[in-house]
Amino acid sequence: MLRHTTLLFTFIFLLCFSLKAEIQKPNYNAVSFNAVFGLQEKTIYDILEIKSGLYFGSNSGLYHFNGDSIKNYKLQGYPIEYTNLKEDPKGRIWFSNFNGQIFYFENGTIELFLDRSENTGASIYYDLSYYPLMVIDGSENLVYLDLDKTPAKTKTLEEKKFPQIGHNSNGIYGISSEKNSTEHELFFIKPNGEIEDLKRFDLPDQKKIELVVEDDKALIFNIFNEHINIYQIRLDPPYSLQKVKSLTTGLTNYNLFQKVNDSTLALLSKSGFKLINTNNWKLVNQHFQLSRNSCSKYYQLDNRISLIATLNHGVKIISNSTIQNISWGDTEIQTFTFSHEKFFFQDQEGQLWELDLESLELSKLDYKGSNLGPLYFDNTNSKVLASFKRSPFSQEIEGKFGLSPIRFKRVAKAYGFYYATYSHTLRRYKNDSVFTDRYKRCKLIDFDQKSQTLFVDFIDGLHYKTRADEKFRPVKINKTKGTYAHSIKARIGGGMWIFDTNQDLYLQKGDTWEKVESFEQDFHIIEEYGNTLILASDRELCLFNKETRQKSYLNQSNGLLSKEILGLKLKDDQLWIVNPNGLQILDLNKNFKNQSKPNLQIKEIQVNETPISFDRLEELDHRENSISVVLNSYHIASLGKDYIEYRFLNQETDWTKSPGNLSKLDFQQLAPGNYQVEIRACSGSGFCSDSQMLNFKIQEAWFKSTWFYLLLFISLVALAFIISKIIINRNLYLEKLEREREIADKERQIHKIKALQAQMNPHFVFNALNSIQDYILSNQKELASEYLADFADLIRSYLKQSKKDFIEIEEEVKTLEEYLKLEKLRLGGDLDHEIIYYGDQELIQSLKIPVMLIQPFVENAIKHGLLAKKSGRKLRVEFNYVNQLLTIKIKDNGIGIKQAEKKKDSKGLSFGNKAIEDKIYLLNKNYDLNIQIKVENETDLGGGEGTTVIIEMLET
Amino acid sequence: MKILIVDDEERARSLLRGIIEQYESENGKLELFEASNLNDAVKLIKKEQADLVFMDIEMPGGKGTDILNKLPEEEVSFHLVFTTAYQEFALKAFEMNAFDYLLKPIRPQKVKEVIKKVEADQKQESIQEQLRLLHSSLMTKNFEKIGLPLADGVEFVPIEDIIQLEADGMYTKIALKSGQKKVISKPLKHFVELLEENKSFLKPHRSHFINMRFLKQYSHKDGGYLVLDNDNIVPIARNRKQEVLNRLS
Repeated sequence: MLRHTTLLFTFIFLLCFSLKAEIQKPNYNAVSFNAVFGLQEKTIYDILEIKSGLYFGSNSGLYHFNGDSIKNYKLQGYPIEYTNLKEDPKGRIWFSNFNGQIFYFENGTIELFLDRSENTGASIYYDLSYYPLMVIDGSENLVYLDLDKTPAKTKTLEEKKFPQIGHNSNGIYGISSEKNSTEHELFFIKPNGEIEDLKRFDLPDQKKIELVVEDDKALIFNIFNEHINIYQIRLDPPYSLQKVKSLTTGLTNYNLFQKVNDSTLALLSKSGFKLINTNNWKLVNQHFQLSRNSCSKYYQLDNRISLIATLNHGVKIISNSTIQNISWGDTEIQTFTFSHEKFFFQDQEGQLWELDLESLELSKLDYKGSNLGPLYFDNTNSKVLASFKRSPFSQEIEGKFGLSPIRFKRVAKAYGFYYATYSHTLRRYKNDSVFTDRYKRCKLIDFDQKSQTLFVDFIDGLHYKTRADEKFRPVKINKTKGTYAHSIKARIGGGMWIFDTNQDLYLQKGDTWEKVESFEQDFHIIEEYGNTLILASDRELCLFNKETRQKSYLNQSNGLLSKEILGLKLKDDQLWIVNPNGLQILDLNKNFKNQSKPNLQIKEIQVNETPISFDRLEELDHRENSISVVLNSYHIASLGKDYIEYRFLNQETDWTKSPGNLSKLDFQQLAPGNYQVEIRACSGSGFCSDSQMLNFKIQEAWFKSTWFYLLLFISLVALAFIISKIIINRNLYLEKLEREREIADKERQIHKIKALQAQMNPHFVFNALNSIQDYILSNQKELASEYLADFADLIRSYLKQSKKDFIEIEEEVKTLEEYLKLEKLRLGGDLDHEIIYYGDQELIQSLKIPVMLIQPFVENAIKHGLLAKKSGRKLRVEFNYVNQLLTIKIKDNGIGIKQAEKKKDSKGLSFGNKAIEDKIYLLNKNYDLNIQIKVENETDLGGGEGTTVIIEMLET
Repeated sequence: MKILIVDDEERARSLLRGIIEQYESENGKLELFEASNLNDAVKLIKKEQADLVFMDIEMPGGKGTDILNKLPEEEVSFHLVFTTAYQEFALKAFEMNAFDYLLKPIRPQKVKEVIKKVEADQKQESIQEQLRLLHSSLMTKNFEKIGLPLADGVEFVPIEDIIQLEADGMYTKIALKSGQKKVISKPLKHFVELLEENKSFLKPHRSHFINMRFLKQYSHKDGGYLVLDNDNIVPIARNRKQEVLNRLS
């Protein structure tokens, strides 16, 4: 067997070199350990973790990682490919090379312990669990060693051919096989070296054998390519053999079958690795194959992270197997929703799928077509509703899918209605009857069952209403200002979570809002799991414990496959994370319990880069004012997020994060004085070590060097000046670039707006000319002249305005008056109009509005409402300005919209309306006005049905 | 009263004539003369001593303002009213130099108002300086001075000497570099329209129009305000703040 192994490794070496020549594609499933911590070696044979850190046996010696940096050790004169790393009770690390030598590592140096190279030239099996130490060398000699004594006595196992060896607490078990035979033999080496033959048995084919020894049984893997037949042999009489399972792993060329724990076995191969649950013999991890990696060792670092040693790509860090990954080739999830048992989604080709959350079975639904908008699972009739983007799909898919009667972004069910948010309105519907509730852009919506309150996030802030309320009321967390939310979530027991745009998380407590925590990123999803809040941003998940206020992060460095988190679903203790390429299932129960505290020790104190003894710290002179604390802070659990922090106790400062280095804390140029520093190490998840105290005193200098401080001050000021100058110049330059880009952008849009304006006018022009012609023909020259001049005035105003984008209301009203004068002429004088300002008239008149905004609506009011009316025509334009919201109402007492609709042959409101819509769309796109148009079928003018058009816009 | 109509277009003259004849029929006899070019006009002015001249601004063979070069100063003692079709710059020039003008198509009512004004002996005192400035404005397409209509005539001040203009109802208070203050019987809007294309001027508030050359300080306290060289404080309206900041940067 051992010769066999040597051959195997030789082959692996060759493979490594051939792989190095290839271009290394980044592997997104696992972050390379090498890149993070600077382990350059690509060929790693073994991993061992002990108190002082992680040790790696590699092609170029032994590497030690103390949580912060990596050091390399090797013993010159002997081959330095080290493997089989083991720790003895004295803290020494034992390892062997492939040349029959065993070494140990103690106090930073490597000693040779046993040299069997003359006998073997091959690798060695040994284990430290027994005394004396039992070693099997490359020639299959069994060697007894006293760990503290050489030379050792030896015993040979020569009659055992191609043995596979494994051990448990009883001793070493082995299986030997004759070449070209199906016959195998189980034997046992007792701690005293005695060999006992236990059982002869046949396995059907001549296949490769691997052995894993457990306490009461041995597992025999009979391997043929991707297929493995697993047998189990009891380790007590009569040593019965039983076939357990046939398995197809998708792996070939195994390097190692490694027992990880009682229920897990790692299969490490040249084409990746898999974990197998030995209770049910199922493959545990679907996704992490590391298929381009020749894996040599699996090591579970903590309950979230595992390391994989590879022979071609160094050490890989992968997330714990408790994150299950589900993906289907190139499938991209375009839109999706969860029901209680299913996950429905549409892929990039328009195909609809259904995933069973229990069995993970994926099945095609009978629909493939145009892209759907958001989906919503309607649990009342167990149907998925789809908001449609373009061509709606009308058929129902297996009774599971139906088209929503309106488009939506999100839906909430409240008061027997479905409330749907969309880009312009909040609507609700029931049995296909649709009502519009508020003409405002809105996105988030959620319903608090307990208080029967509906929360909607509109463009003008978060609002709420109860069933009795007719209107939405703004949520005002900070009394005066409105609240703008990134995400909201109704709690199951009542109350709301709000994550606002200031990155603060609030919880509703009756009528008040309690600030729970401030964050430093925008979270767009909130879920609640017991004491833990799960928040998703556009780069990671934050798991925030409400009680301890600790935050843990799940991102691409520790298992999240994509930083794009499309959705979350909590099901029992599992969190389902939707990313564009699939799903990840996180076992919350396993993952976020048992967080461990980091460990911190002060190793050494350096003053001006020279180590000194601790008792010297009480009397440092004034020049000994740069103090470095060398730390041993072994804790790797959350990788890049760990940090060291300190505070000066006698100065009562706050905790300060040390920049970067975890192994050294530098205090530069300290002023004379007494110092009492408290130091601790914290993991990214918020767990901190016990504090370490350090006291020292720097004595006052004999001189008071005022000139020095002056010089220092001047140079600091000069530096600050230069830096600020550089920053200012750079900012100015960037701003300029940005502005130029914006201007170009706007200009393009503005051209369009102007073209639309041009379209509006001619219609009116000819009508007006027609009326004037009537005066000429009826020989009322003076009047004709007057009106002609009026007409010219109006055209002049239009021409002038067309060069502008915005005008003051005063000017718009002047033009409107000119216009109405001509319209009045057309209506034979029967048109009374009023312009009314509510509030500060002068202020309102000075507000700026887009040009030609009001006139088209006035024109419509006359054309569709008033023209058809026989007499008593009234028109009123009202302006109101409250809280930066400008409201313009155009009221007429004409025949009303419904009548106007009937009167016309063609459908749609009028010729101008499409143009108005386009114009407002462009304005909203280019400026921060949020113009909204509402039409009401009534006025307070009297004498007719009437119509009121309400234009609202933000004037800030 | 002697009225001279100068226009190269026969139809334009006949229209004005019609309007004036209409006025005659209601108010009594006037003497009417017509000229189709500048030279004839000059001859008629000299010969007939016209009280009121309606002058088209754009004519072949010379602008209406060229009349300045053809008449000795003492003979320019008539009331001059320019007529023009749409020409934005010219309109602005008239306003800037406080000239009366009529827009084509002509409003009969306006013509009548002008005649009444001249009949009531409200002639311009000396329009020589006014004309010279108008002429230069039209030639260079640029304004150096602005005419401020005062009770006793028109005062021309260099635009760059204006520090600030402040609305006071239908009046405008103007502060000049010299420390002088003027109150003009025109709304602030009038000046804003005339000067809004001038890059130096900024309207930080509905009641204030300032010359940025005289800007001493910007403070963002109290919602933001500006301090001018004359130490006057000018508030910034909230809805204009962004615009102001853009202009200042």
